Amino acid sequence: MQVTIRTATVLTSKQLNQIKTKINKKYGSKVEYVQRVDPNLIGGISLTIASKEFDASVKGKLDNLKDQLKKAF
Amino acid sequence: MEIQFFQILFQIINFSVVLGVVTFLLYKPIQKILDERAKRIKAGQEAADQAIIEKEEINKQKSQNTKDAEKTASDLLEAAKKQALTQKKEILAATKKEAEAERQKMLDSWQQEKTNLKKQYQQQMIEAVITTTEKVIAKKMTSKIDQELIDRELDSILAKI
Repeated sequence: MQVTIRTATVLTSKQLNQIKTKINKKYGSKVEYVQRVDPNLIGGISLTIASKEFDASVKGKLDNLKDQLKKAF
Repeated sequence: MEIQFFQILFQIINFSVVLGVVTFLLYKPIQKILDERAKRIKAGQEAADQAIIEKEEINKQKSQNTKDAEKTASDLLEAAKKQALTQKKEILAATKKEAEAERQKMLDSWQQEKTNLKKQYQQQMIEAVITTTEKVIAKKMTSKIDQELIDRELDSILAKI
């Protein structure tokens, strides 16, 4: 299984370990981690585990806000 | 001069005979002819009178027919005028109704166009605001702020996994 970690800046080792600990606990140790630095995210973090995305990036939140505003009007 | 009685008598008898003969031969036929002539004249007169009466009757009838025809023509004209007026009113009403429907259609179309434009404008405004916000945040973002943000978000993300 592959886990993709995207951030706008490089993760600290503490942060990376925190992520790996949690994921390995749930999915086991046979997980491949891919880190990507994507300035388009602006800030925050986005995790993709298998095909499921957990987006807590600034870009993701602003996109979500944009969609909600468009639906409201 | 001596009055001879027998000559006078003879004359009287002679005159009487002549008178009788003339009366018998001439007076009665002539009277008959005159009577017939009078009858013919009378018949002719009566026929003329009758013709005059009939002519008056015909003239009277003609006059009445003319009056009737004029009245009929007048009635027809009046009816035609009424019908034309009714049709004119109907056409006007129909035209007015069509114009009103067209006006309403245009109004509805304009309203819809206005709503669409308003919606389009709002969508564009939202896009512009979000894009500007992204740029402002990107400009203000530092590594330190980002790291703090990641630390804050990690707990909630990992809780969802």
